[in-house]
Parts: sequence; C-alpha cells; structure tokens
Amino acid sequence: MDLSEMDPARIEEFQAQDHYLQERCPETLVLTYAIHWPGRQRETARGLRRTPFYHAFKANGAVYTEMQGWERPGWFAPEGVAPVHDYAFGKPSWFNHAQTEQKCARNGVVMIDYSMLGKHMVEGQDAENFLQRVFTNDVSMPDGRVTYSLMLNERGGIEGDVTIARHNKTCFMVMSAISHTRRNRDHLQRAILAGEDVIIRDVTSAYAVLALCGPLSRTVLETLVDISLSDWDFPSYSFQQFYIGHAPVFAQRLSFTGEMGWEIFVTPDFAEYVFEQLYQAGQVCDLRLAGGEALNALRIEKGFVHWGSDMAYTESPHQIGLDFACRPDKNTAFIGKAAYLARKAEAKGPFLCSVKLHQPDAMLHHNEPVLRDGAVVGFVTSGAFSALLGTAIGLCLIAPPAGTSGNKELEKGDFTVLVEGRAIPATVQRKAFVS
Amino acid sequence: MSASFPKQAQVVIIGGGIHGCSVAYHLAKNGWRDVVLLERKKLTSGTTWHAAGLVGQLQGSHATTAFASYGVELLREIEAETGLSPGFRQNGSISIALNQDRLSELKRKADFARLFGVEAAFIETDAIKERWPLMNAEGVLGGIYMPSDGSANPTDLTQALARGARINGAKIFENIKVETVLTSNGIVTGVVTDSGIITSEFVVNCAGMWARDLGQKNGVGVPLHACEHYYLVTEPIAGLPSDLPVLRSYCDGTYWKEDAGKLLFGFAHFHAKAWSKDGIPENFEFDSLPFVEDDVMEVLELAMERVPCLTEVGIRTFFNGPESYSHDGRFTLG
Ligand SMILES: Cc1cc2nc3c(=O)[nH]c(=O)nc-3n(C[C@H](O)[C@H](O)[C@H](O)COP(=O)(O)OP(=O)(O)OC[C@H]3O[C@@H](n4cnc5c(N)ncnc54)[C@H](O)[C@@H]3O)c2cc1C
Repeated sequence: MDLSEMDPARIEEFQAQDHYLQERCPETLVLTYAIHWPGRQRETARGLRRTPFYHAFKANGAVYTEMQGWERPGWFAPEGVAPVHDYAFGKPSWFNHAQTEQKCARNGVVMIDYSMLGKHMVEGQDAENFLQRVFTNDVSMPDGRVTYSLMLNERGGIEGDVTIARHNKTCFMVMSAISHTRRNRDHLQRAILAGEDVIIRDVTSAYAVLALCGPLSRTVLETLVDISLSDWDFPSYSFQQFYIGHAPVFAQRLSFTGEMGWEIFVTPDFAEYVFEQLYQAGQVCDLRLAGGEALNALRIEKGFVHWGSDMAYTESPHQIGLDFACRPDKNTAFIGKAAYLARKAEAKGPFLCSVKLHQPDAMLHHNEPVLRDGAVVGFVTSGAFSALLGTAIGLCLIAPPAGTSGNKELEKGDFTVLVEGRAIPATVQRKAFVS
Repeated sequence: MSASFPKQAQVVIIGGGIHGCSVAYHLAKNGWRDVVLLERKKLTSGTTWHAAGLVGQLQGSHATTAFASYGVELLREIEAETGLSPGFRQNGSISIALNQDRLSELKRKADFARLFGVEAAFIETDAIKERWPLMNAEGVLGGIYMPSDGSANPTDLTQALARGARINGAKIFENIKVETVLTSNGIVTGVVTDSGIITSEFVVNCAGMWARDLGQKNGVGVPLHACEHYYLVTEPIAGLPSDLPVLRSYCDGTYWKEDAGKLLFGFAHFHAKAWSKDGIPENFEFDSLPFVEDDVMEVLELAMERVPCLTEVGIRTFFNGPESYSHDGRFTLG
C-alpha cells in the first residue's frame, strides 16, 4: 500500500520544533471540520522561507501559497485585483488570471520562481559510480549534460524522480521537487556504501532559480547574453555557465511546462538584479510572471508526473510510462533493476493515462473515480483546468479491461469520471494531450 | 521487577493506547515473536479512554480510507476472536450540508468512497429528518448517508486488541515507563525502562501525545502536539432510539451520537488551543482538562439551533481532553 503521504521523511527539522507545532497543530484541529477545499492553505506559521525574488514578485501581484515552509507564487493578480487566494470546488475568483498565465506560457513567455527546487551536490571520486547504482538513467554522459532519472527500491517501485546535472565526473547536482527534498536526500545518504567517496551537500538555498519558458523565451534571453542559444549550441538537457548582464549564472535548458525554456541558477546576491534584467528585456515580448497553478495545468497537459500524486514507491516505471528513464543496459546495474525488468515483463497495471472531460463545467482536482463502461477502474491522480483545451484534464491510474494484460487495450470502452455524483463523459488515452 | 520481565524482544511497542495495542495485535497475529508492549500507567489511560468512539470511513486519502474500512472489518470480527465485545454499533452515519460548497464536498467524498466499495449515497433532507427527528432541518440542503459507519467503545476495543495480542503470544506490561530508546550508529538496539533494559531489533513509538518528547530524546522529530478537545453529554432523553445514526453537521461544528440514552456531541473548534506547552505532567492518567465555557459557547449556540431539545434537557458532562494533532493533518508512519 502507498503510505508515502505519511512518510516521516516529509518532515523537515523546523517542522518538528515545539514552537512550530504549537502554532500549526491547533489549526489542524480547527480545519478538521472546515471544508477541505482543493489547495486549501494554512494561515499559521506562514512566511517562513522566502526566495530572493519574494518581494520583487510580490510587487508584481504574486499571491502566495505554501509548501514545506516555502512561500511560492500560486498566481499573479493583475493591477486592480485583490491578491486573495480564495477556494472553490468549481472556479475560484482567480481562475481566469491563472488561465491567462497558462496561455502566455504556451504562446509567449513567462517567468516562474523555481528557487525552492531541492538541490543536492553529490561529489567525490565515486560520485559517478554511486549515481549509476542509485539511479536508473545513465549519468556517464558528457559534462554539461542533464538527465531525468528515477530511483527504485528493490521491489522495482519508484522511490523518487529527479533531474541530474553533470558538472564533471566527481560533481553532480541532483534536483528534487520541493516536497521531496528531504526524502530524496535521506534516500541518497542511506545508499552510500562504506568506504565510498561520496559527499552529499544540500545547496537548495545557495542558488535562486528563475524558469524562463515559452516559445519566446529564447528571444528574451538572447538580448542579455553573449553565448549562442541555438538548438545546436545549447540543446535541450544541457547546461552552461554564462553571464546575464554582469551576473554570473548557469542555466539548464528544460522546462516543466514542456515548452522551450531555461532554468537559470544564480547566487542570492545577484538574484534580484538578474530578475530585473530578464523582466525588463521581456517587456517587448509581453513577458508575464506565472505561478504554481498555471504550471500544474501545463505539466498535466504534457503528461509530466509528480511523485507522491501520480506515482509512488508502489508503482513500477512501466506503469507510469517512464521506461525511457531506465537504462538496464548501462554498465552498472541500478538498484531494483531485476525487479523492474520482471515487473515490466509481467506488464501488470494499473497504468497512468491522461484524462479529459467532455463537459467544461466540471472540475477535476484529485481522486475522482474513473469508470469504464460504468464500472470503477481507477481514479484521477492530478487534475487541473486546461486553458488550451477549455476543459478539465488530469492524469489517472487505471486498470486494463478484465482478462487483458499490458496496456494495449487500456483505452477500450466508454469512459466517464464521477464528479459530485454525476458521471461525466471523458476521453482516456495513454498519450498526453499536448505533445 | 517481575520475574517474567523480558531482557530481550524482537519488537518493543511503547504506549498502551489504541494504537500500541493494535500494533501489538497485528504484529503478534502476523507471526512476530517476542512482541513486548510497555505502558507507563494503565492501558487506555492516555487519550484513548475518553474518545467519543465514532467510526467514520470517509477519510481524506486512499491510505486512511483503506485503514478505516479495514477497521470496520476488524470491529466486526474481534469479538469472535477474543471473546471481548468492542461495543460496535453499525448504526450508519449521516453528514449534512448547510451550503452548496459543503454539499459539493460531501458529494465528492461519496464519489471517493466508491473506490473502496464503501456505500455512501446522497440523502434528501426529508429522509434525514425521518432518521433523525430531533434535528432542526432548517437550512439543511441534504446529506450523505453511510450505512456501514457507526461507533464503538474505545476502551473495550483496546482491551479486545490487547487480549488478541496476548492470545498470539505478545507480552503486555503496565506501569513500565520507557525512559529512552537505545541506538547504535543510528540503529535501534533497545529501550531503557524504569525496570531495566530490553534489547530489541525494533521499537515502535505509539506514545500518542508523548511521542514528540520521546522522539526528541533521540533527535527524532515527531510532528505531534496535544490540543484541547471537547465533547458534551446531555442528561437522558426519553425515547432516544439506540439505533440512531451518527449525525455530522460540519458547518455547525458538531457530531452527534446516541450514548446510553443520552446524546453525546462533540466539537469542531473555530479556535483551538495547544495544551501542555511546558510538558505533560508526569502523573497524567485518566485525566481531563479544565472546562472553559468561552471555548465552547460559539459551537454550543449552533448546536442548540440544530438540536433544539438541548434548550430543555440539561448537559450532564462537559468534557475537555487532550488529543494530539500533526502539523499537516496527516499520520506519521514508517
Ligand atoms: C474529546 C475527544 C474525542 C475523541 N473522539 C474520537 C472519536 O470519536 N473517534 C476516534 O477515532 N478518535 C477520537 N478521538 C481521538 C482518539 O482518542 C485518539 O486518536 C487515540 O486515543 C490515540 O490513541 P494513541 O494510542 O495514539 O494514544 P494514547 O491513548 O494517548 O496512548 C499513548 C499511551 O502511551 C503511553 N506512554 C507515553 N509515554 C510512554 C513511555 N515513555 N513509556 C510507556 N508508555 C508511555 C501513555 O501512558 C498512553 O497510554 C477523540 C479524542 C478526544 C480528546
């Protein structure tokens, strides 16, 4: 059973201190009978962890939501709109603003504060070997390359997903989603063998990160740098060090929105300066700031997964469509390889799919049952409203039709999703809706 | 120190509340040898003895809902296995909505219950009124009825689990306090008690609101803190049916349960207080906390509107007990 939501490793040190608990725990009691809104925010113990862009983004309308003590922009209130994050099972008051941010990311260019990204340096003579063993993907790539990878347990289940940037043979940066930073660090730390020369350093707050993404992102960045940003010189999944104006930065070319984009790392001292440079340069392209709400919808459109929602240590990569991140053929066998291969061969479900409703008035948040020909076969793992498709979309874990195995016949049947007692007709497909 | 006090165990469970006894029962039943449970005072003397005993299966997540529906199964079977009745009454439950948003939430929860095969259906206000005649139906938009919910006696259930654990070979000791957990290179090796040391491969911290303090001694952060939590019990009400379903009115901040001819109703708090900020008193045992009228008035007024007979029948018990809550409303397990 997936108990990841209860994992003690979700708890950061500061969250187990008496003062924090004395503020937070009574609020938990108050909220037990309050409405469990999607995305409900805590009001106690807020404003604890702020990125170097906090004030700059706030001045531009950022409305903050919290994650592991971090304040991160949920959406941006245009001028004249109160920056109030209200809730609804349908459409909250800020719905249209977050939809606009989605459209800008797909058609223009947006900037997202990504500083909370968990960052661990893995260093030492044995760093490469260590990562080859712990991660499924191949990190013996050229220096300056980045890869998406999984770590598995001995049962072939997914213990976490990260991106890994190779600085050189003895130095890598491993990047985690905010909520799993501690979990992933613990996992890595435990995996170090006696005598292995590997040191793990948490550098999460040593770098601020801005994600510049959208089809016009290159046009904006080009005006500020001396290097070539062409596909040839700066391909996807690579990173380089360069200057933005006077500030030394390094950036990796990838984006959780699925658009062209760069994640720009800068030390906190230069952070606000870099923000100003990019923001000003972006004005000719109508650059907008975007928040977590828009990002969530954008990544679901692309079928990008979030550990803890769309998968956990119970699922094997073949169920989630993540075989591409597993390299059983590489020289070093990764942890869980045998179990992974066995599970892949067995091809048992449930499998992750994309789901889209046929009625624009129903919303998907999380956990809505998915029915095939009237029988429950799975549930929505993540949901959002897609500005591009004009309807609620989601990812869902569903079982193949009875008597079949593998995912070949997964899409067969008439699908509906239960939303507030109504069975809403839906499309379920293995491929993401936006490619 | 009794002669049979062990020096060694496969697993030591700290805390003889419902959680500790349940862990002991399940481990022993699943073939663990040398299961030892240590309780500083008497079984249930912490927070378990005073729980209102509601058994609700509409939980927020997959894991908690799966736990809760397994709990119902266990409640049905434990008497046959141990000869002790947990006082389980499967009277069903009705959750009512006073506004559209709450109705949406309840309907979404009923959808979710489908994933677990737990029956949950929309019920019209008239039908609710029929099942719950004491309720003032004004403003009620309908609700969700769950026939397999109910209530149990937390003390009896804990004793049943303890007996089940013993039948399967677990040893349970009362009046033994664990002082510290022993570790070597970050790995648990045993516990130090006020009656000696027990070495063990595993230690399970089931110390409820004491769990944080216990964890701290080993540098383990347990995100739990006790808060004050109330329920009230009326004087006997003539003709109160004993098969009355549990009623939950989240918007009013109350749940209602028939309790030996009286109504027990409990509380959501619009403001809540952390308790024992300076530590839990050493002698705490079957204790309750002082009743503060101001802390209940707001909810009590709503309660009297929802169940108007309260203005006539008196209230016999104002109960305030500690219960620990986590920082994010989730369990901590693993
Ligand atoms: C007013 C009220 C109403 C409630 N109503 C309900 C309800 O309707 N339904 C429901 O499901 N829940 C209800 N609860 C919650 C329920 O009471 C608790 O969740 C449950 O009792 C917790 O059990 P536990 O075993 O974790 O803790 P406890 O019962 O507190 O057990 C912990 C035990 O550990 C022992 N201990 C601590 N430290 C040590 C040590 N160092 N060495 C040895 N032993 C130690 C303590 O003495 C104690 O007995 C209610 C709570 C309150 C306050």
